[in-house]
Amino acid sequence: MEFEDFVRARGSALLRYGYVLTGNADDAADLVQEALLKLSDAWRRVRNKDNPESYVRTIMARQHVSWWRRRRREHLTDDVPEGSYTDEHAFGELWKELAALPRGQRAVIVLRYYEDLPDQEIAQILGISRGTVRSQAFHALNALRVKPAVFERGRT
Amino acid sequence: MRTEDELVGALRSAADRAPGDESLLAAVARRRRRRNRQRVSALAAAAAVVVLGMGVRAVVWGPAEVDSVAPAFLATRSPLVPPPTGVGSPPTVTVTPPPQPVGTVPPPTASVPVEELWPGAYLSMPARDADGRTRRPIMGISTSEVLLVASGPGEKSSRLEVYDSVTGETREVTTPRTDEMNGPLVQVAAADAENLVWTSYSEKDGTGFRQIWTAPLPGEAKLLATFSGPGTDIDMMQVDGDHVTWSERSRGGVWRMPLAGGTPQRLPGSDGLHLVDWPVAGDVAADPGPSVRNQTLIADLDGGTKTAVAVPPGAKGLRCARTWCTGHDDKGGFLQRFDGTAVTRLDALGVSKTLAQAPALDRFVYVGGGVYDIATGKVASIDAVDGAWFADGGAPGSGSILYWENERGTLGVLNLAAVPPAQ
Repeated sequence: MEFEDFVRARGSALLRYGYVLTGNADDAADLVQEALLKLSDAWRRVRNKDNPESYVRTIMARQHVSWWRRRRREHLTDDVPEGSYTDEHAFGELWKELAALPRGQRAVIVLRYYEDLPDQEIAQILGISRGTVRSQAFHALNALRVKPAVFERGRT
Repeated sequence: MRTEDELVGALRSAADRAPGDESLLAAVARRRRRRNRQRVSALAAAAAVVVLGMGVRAVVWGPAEVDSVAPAFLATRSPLVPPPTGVGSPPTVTVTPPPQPVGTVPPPTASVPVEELWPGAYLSMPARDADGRTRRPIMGISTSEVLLVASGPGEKSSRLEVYDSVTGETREVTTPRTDEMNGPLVQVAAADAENLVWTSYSEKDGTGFRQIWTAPLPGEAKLLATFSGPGTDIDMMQVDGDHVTWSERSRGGVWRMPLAGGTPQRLPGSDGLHLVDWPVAGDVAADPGPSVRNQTLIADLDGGTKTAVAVPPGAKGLRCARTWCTGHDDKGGFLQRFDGTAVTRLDALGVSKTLAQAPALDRFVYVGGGVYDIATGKVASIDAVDGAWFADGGAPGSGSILYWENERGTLGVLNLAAVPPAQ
């Protein structure tokens, strides 16, 4: 597979991931483009040895956290996705509150609940300890008033 | 409280609104050209990001933070408002602060382990019941009894139980019925000494709907109300005598209906208001959240009066229980009465600078590593490796219960309702 084929095949999914990570369309596009640029630089190595999708998603998660620390941009409450939801207000409110999370916490939440990754893998992706993953998830879920199945997840 | 399923649903729904990828390849190509032109400066910036990122991570994710709580309906009722007399009573009562001298908050003292400071309020219990269901404390219903929900995987089957810390035994209260329900069976729950109320959430034909149930303690569950649409998002619910009261998170507005059944009634004058502690309401949702918006008024829904909250300059996320408010600003966290008196800085205690949270039971502030008692100035420390959770406590975030994992397989539980009154 060539880089262009990969982008055509997986670009849409990566943009979805980027949108959930960043919370808005502009930053999602920015994040995906930047990560793909890095992927293209490393394409030959990654294609042969690694999983390109895993590689680019890791770049996106890490870059997202770094970017937000650097740019300090605020997208607090106005960027609610348009369209209808099954439970419009509940999801809309939750989406707004996600925007208020620190970026590192948001990244953990997205990796855990959108990417459905175990805490150990999240720790490896973000380059932090598993205890820190738990701590970040704890604070984020508390802020979002989400009751986790805390005693069943990642306790080994 | 929300469930993990709702969080997953919110993320996936949002992903459906992501931008299209029509010009992605072209955009990457443009970006490459631009990068090549700016390569030197870009590399310099990237190096700076790495250093900054590592520094911030250590600060943001320090282990001492314990986020937390909200208001207080199990609180010892202050003389703030008269007993509830039902819907539509004439507006005769004025909300006034209870008499208390300005500036009398005891200064925080050195922390003491919670099991030593409040031995009667601390208990340890198995994290799972005999059938392997996960136990989650909801609230203290007396000084020795804790209401629990014991849930199977995905909370698709749940049982409401009461744990007695004196006998160490658990008794079943009721099992929520599962008619047509495919979502979490117990979300928002509340109780007093006699009755229990809870809500269930489900979806049918693409529409979300919520049910409100009640049962005596103990007794058979009875469906009180079913509704769908915007009002399904409940931020606070209380049972008070023979009525249940709740408010809508998204739009505000307070509803009330008899536990005996009937038609829910949206209380006149409650537009935009959120239940704090019946009949007290405020203009922001009282359960903890990341909002920086301040609560600006306290309303007495029974008496029909409203009183302004004294919001200090620079304050964010100010949230009030009946008497006490907590908020944060650039310097840290602070405590005050809602009339702006008795201001106490809590910066040294590690109060969350991101969560808006009212004091639990109008008395307790969750701080880094424990609980600060406004009444005594004492700080109870909680030794929880993975942090402590505040329980629903009668409403989302109401916080009459803190619990945490002790040793493997057991929960440490702090029932704030059982903390002795201040001497």
